[in-house]
Amino acid sequence: MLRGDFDPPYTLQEGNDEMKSNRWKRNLPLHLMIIPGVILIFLFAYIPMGGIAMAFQKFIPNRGLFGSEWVGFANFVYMINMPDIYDVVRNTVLIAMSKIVLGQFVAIMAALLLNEMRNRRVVRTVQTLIYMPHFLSWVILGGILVDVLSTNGGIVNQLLGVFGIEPIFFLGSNSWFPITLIASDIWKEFGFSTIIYLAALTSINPTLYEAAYIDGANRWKQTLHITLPGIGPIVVLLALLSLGNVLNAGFEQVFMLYSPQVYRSGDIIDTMVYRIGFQDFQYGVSTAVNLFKSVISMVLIIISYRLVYKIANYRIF
Amino acid sequence: MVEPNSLSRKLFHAANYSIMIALSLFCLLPFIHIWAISFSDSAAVNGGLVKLWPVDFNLDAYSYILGDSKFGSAFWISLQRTVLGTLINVLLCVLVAYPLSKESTHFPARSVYVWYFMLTMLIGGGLVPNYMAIKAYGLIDSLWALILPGAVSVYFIVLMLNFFRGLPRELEESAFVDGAGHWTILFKIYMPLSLPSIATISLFAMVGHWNAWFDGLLYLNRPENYPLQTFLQTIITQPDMSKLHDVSQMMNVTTRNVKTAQIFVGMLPILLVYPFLQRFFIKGIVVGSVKG
Amino acid sequence: MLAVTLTLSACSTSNTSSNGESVSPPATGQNNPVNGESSAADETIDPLGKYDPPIDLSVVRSTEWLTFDDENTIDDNIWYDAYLRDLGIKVSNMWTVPSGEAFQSKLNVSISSNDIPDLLSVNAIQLKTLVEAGMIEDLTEIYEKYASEDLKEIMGQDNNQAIHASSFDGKMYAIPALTPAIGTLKMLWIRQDWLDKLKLQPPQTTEEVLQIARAFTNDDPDGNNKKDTYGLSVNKDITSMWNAPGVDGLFQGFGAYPGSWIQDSSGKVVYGSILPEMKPALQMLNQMYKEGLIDKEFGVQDSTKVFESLNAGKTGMFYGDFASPIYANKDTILNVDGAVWNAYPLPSVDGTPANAYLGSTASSFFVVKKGYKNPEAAVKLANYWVHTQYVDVDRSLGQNAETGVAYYPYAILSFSPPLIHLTQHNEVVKALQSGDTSTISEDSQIKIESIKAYRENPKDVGGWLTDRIFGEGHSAMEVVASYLDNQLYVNNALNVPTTPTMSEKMSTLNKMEITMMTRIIMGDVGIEEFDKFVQDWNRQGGEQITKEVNEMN
Repeated sequence: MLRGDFDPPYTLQEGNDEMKSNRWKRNLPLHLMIIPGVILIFLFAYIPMGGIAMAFQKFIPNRGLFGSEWVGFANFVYMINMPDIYDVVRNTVLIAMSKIVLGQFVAIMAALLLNEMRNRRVVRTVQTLIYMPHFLSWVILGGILVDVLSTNGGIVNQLLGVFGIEPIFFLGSNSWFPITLIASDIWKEFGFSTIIYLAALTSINPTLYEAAYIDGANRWKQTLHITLPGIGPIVVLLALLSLGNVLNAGFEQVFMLYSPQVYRSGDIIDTMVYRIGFQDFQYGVSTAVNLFKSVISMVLIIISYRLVYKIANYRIF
Repeated sequence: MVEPNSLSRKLFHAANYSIMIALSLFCLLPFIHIWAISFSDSAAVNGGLVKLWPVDFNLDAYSYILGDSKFGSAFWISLQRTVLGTLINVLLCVLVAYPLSKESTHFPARSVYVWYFMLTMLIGGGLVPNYMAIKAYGLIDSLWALILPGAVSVYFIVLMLNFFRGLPRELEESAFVDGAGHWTILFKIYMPLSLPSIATISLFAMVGHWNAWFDGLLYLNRPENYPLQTFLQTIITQPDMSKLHDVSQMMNVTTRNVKTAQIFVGMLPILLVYPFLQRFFIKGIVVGSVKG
Repeated sequence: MLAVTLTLSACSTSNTSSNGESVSPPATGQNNPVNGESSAADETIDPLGKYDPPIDLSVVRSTEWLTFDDENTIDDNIWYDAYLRDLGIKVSNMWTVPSGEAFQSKLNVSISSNDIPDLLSVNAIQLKTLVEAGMIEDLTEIYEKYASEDLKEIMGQDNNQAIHASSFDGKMYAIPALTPAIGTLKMLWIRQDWLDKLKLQPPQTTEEVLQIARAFTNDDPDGNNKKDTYGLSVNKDITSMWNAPGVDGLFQGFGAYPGSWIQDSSGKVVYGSILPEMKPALQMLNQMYKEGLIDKEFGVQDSTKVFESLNAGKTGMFYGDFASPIYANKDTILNVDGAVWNAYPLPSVDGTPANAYLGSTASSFFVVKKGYKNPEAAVKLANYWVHTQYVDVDRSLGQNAETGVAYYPYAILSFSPPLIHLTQHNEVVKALQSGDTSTISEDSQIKIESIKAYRENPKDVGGWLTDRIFGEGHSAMEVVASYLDNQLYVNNALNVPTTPTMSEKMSTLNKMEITMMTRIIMGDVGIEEFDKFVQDWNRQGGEQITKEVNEMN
């Protein structure tokens, strides 16, 4: 076989100038591949990022980003001084974290269980059906949930009644409302989240299972020692990325389902900002809130990125 | 696949099938409800009398939709957007993910690139700056305003680079020995081996493009250019009574059965995509072909 | 001018003079911030003068409520042709959207990115933002100079409230879009067939409302031998201005005006939700909740859910407005044979007639972009609207008589005289009684045809709601007329869109208020919680807001 111009790629070379230029030449296609993405990101992400300045301004539209008055951290101070801010932040974190953790757990379980099913047709049907609720908006589901969860003839309470459980006011009780939010969100999204784990499962080498079987491992052991480690990187990756959402508790859902009697347990940052916006154009405040959310997410992601690298010696991205 | 056949295994299967099928039915119910509403008479719908079966069955809602020329053209625009947008998403995704899947020892610029991309996933400029940028680029009222801003998805890239890194290293090395360059390796070896992950990302991209509606409202100035979801979302709103000059106008309010019929018709195509893509998820094709 | 006067004198069949006094101002434009010096020396101005060569004017449009035929689109229609032909104004749409909600989203982005058209219609908050940012023209002098007498007359019908609401520091920044404020007048809608079946009289007092609610809940008014009915509708917002059966009307029966700014006996502007009259109303709702006369789950039900219960024939009373038959309960007559809805004036705590709240007459504001070279075009457009619609009526710009397609909503600057619906009601009633339809307006003739169709076919929904709104026999307009004729209303007293502290604190205070009301009604806390709320409200910014409102008003 003829050798091309390429050196074997992954041999460490001490860097003298000639080697460096060689590597540059070899890596040139890699730079070419990445360039279109770099340009688009610059145009559509970095240029608009100048808007962050609004968080530190009293933004006046026709004076723009350069002409508006700078107010330092006033917008952040305004945010922190809002009454109930601690309740609201607590609700947000609690609801968002539960959705992330439980949502991922349920999706992984569903993927594993689907993986155990042998009847192709049933598997495909189940997959398709559980994926469907993702496509319903909360505007539609809100109305349906009020009916389904009603204490007065709602199907869920009727079912609970069969087991002798008193009707529960899921949408109107402060102890049940967050649980209802979390459960309905998981129900809506778990099927869709399953897809990615199913894709990850396909990449596990089947010969591993055969070898394990010959060694006498049962399905449970195989799952524990082959399947889970197989999808491990993806699980860790998704967990890490989802930290970007720890302050996003799902505006649309909460907005459609909450009511004054559950403000105490259900009011989140986004719904509060929305109500403020109704009184006035407060671009500064909403930009400040978003920046605050981004910074928290960024810190969390960077810390966990470092941790994963330290513990597992694996760069997740 | 190796399959033991003990009693406990059978019990497990029985339980597993029952749970999953019950879950599926649970997911199906709201769709049946919406379906029933769309085939019902609007008076019954407004009375909340429709549950899981149409009341006073009629096809008014569907004949109304199919008679609306805007629906058809919006559908067509959505189709264009989804196909074009997904192709660009996936292409850019693999083009960026491939270099980033290399070790930084061999591609030193990697870490700079990675953080360049990651940062944009964490911080955004916000609605108004985005709008101003798109306007400055002259993209208002063009289909590109819906495609280009999201063309590079960092989320997809991170997923894809992790899938790429899962491929056996030896493949690449032996290809280099055979004289192949990076372009050849990406398109001839990596991509065919990554069908499940490419299918996953394509599906996500398609769903994203099909469902997106707010960008259409923001960047398109003519309702006749709206993609389907923008068209539907802007119709399904609570009418604003305070803007009303004369009560006789209110007779034109679209009724709920029409709205649900529109939702139903708008959702069907994207629901049908998944069963089609499922054949790319068949277990084992990846490593099997690698070995061969 | 003549037709406008006619509109006013036709307002009420029974009591023209008191009505005229109460709603129309003594003279035109006298409260306007006048800049006398500049107009004195000017040449004669034609309020409807044509531009030659034509000028360009860009606008943004929502097509909600609009219907089109083969000749008309939103970009090219009979009105846009007329503007060019008669005024020399060439109108172009910068953007259009299909609905009001989408319009607001897009308009907010347009404003924030300083990308607005030459003429636009905004709400009070947007108006304030635009004024503060200096993005729109001061119209004070232009309005004085160019407004036709007819326009000034109509703008004066509400004692210049709307013009006041368009002004900041004495400068008029907008032409207000007048709206029939009678839409905010609440009334009690009752299932008359239930009353008759249970041999009950319509209520005069709030106590009787309670008794009727009891009977509607417990005495099986729908005759299905199940206890599945409720006395009164309440939704999770409890009170609401537009488009939903809030129970504002119940509060107003006690002389309480939650959520509204009103004048107290000393002339000071106060916030209705903190006045002691709130207490008995809250206690009554708590009583109704305890007895199950309202749905125990009202706290999570939005208006759609509440309408369902009305339309299914499961709830017998709601506090609505004159337009309720259109959006709230019209399907009852299809779902329940023999259902009859009647409108009654608000029952009061002591049986004397209650005063209903009459809201602002300015629903939105037409403003002109700063730097637009012909800002007076906006005033001319307003003149043109008044001229073609109410003075020298141009039928071709109104409605296609054959197809019923309405053309007048295509106009880019339009509004309704505050009393238009009442005028139509009077015409309809008179013509129904006399059988003579020759002298009445085209709009009213269409309504009479509709009512006749309903009398032929009791399941004709369009005819039914026309009858319930404009017809006779406990119709909505009869209630409205009774309020106006007897001056049974309390005016909105807030004439500024917002104050600095209001922008900052009102959303928090509103949250406090709705939480307090919900908890008292549900019995989580006793009525003493109200006093605590009033204290907190004042302490957390309410007192300051009240001060600012009184200073700025």
